[in-house]
Amino acid sequence: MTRLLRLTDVIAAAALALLLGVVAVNVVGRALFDATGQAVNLMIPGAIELSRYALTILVFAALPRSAEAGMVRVDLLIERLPRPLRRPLERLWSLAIAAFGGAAGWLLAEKALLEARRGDVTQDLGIPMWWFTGFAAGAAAILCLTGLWLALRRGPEHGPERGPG
Amino acid sequence: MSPQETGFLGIAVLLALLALGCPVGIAMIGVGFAGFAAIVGLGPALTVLETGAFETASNYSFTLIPLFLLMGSLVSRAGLSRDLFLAARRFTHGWQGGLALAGVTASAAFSAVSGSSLATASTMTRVAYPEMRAQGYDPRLAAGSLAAGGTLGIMIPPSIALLLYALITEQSVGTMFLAGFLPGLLAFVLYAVCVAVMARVWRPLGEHADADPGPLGLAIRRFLPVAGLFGLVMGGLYGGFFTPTEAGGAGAAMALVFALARGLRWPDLRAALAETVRISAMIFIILIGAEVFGFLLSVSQISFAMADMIREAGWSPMQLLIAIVVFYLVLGCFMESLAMILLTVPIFYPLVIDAGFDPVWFGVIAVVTVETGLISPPVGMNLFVVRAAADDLELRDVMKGVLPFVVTDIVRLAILIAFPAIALTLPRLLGG
Repeated sequence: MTRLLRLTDVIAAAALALLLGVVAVNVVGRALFDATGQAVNLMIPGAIELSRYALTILVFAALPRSAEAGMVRVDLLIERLPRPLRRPLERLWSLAIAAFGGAAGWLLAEKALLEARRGDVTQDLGIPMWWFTGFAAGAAAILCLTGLWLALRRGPEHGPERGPG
Repeated sequence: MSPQETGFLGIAVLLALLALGCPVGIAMIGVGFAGFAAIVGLGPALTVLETGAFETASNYSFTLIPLFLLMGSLVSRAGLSRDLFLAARRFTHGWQGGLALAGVTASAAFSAVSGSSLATASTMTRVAYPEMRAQGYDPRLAAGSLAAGGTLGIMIPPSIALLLYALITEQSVGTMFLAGFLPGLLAFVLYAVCVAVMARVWRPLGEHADADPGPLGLAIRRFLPVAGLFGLVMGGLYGGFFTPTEAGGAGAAMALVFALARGLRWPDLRAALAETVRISAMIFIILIGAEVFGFLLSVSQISFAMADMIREAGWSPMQLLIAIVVFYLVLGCFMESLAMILLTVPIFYPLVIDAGFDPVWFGVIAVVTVETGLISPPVGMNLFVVRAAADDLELRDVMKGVLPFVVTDIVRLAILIAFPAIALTLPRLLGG
């Protein structure tokens, strides 16, 4: 599971780098395009579309790590509960994360299959839509596995997400 | 059970789940899904779940979020946030609560370049909180001032909230940004007063242990890089060179260049990327939850019912406005701020315009109220971000610490309602 989370970490970081690269290169490309009287066109075709789907990959790939980190929670009351009560609640919330991941994965997988059958492609670049929907389904499935792993593993309960640092 | 009863029950269940430690985003998704299924049916609810997750994560407007977060993270790792804090300390040295005031000042400057309340709160907390604690600051004063200081980012341009308001009400983005500038400045001044009062109550024990705050010229030089980044982002926007997303991308790229020039190493860059995606996911799961829960609020017609009550009661324009503000304040306690704007503005906007209020001014009022939601217990996002960025901090201390700032925000709201010119002067002078 830890290796799987490392893999999604790398994918999410790569998607962020892609998003930054696409947006930044396009800004410079447009400046050159304007400055040279439209003679030099280094703008990236379909930059908006690429940005959108880079965001999709970034978000879905990062969700399992966010779940592992505990996500954002109100810990005012739960930290005061005795351990025999707290641990089952922690497991229950991990199962809730797994349920969301499972449901989203199943629904997105159905959508990806439908898009693949219909041959749906993105508007500007003509990339098969199911690539992105399918990736989101896979990442949601990993989120589901992460939730189950957190619910079933032994050891101390994880706290809420500690955020940056 | 009627749809409205289901909606109110949903809100009650959501609050109970949050109190029991359920992740905020997951609780909103679960309650929103179940409530929507109870009212409309399982099939449509599954569609809401699928589209809510995928469409939120592929919304081009939201590409701003990781880009500005990355810019903030890189700026922080370049030592800029520390520079800002040290520079602000130079100007507040010797004052009671000077470190907290420096934190708020640096937050105002940092939020101008990061464009994100969350990034500002998390970054400035990591920079300023340890030093405040080392100088004997009460954690409530330290955390409260940093959580509140982070909210300055939602009003000081570039502001995602003002941008969204402009988009859904067809106002000029430039006009909205100009309208937010003076209210943002007012927020800073009132927060400074609040810090001064709080420092008298929770008196820092070891403040001013470091006698030499450094020369003035150095402090000014420390502000210059941030001024340059702010100039790039805002100059690009107002010069017509950038869209808001491009401004974020250009800012992040410039921050990367700047950080590399200041010796950023690969492990730091990797950490910046990892931090950005992790916080992005933290935000997006709540955005997805707000989207799904928003469907329940819409279909249960709670929002419409309240809007109808306001319309049918025959109140004066001011009564109407106060009712809307109170509604926002209550809703802001448990709903994500951007989702709140997207859900409620289309409902209230026609009422407000019919009542004769200026649409730009109302946008500022709405965002100021939403801004208060960012630090409103129990689910204000900045509370969690600040708590997450400091190791020895309890959430209850953050909540206690921000309460005076919530009161300050309400005072500012009253001032802005009484004097609309504060928001409208710059757009009228400069045209937006």
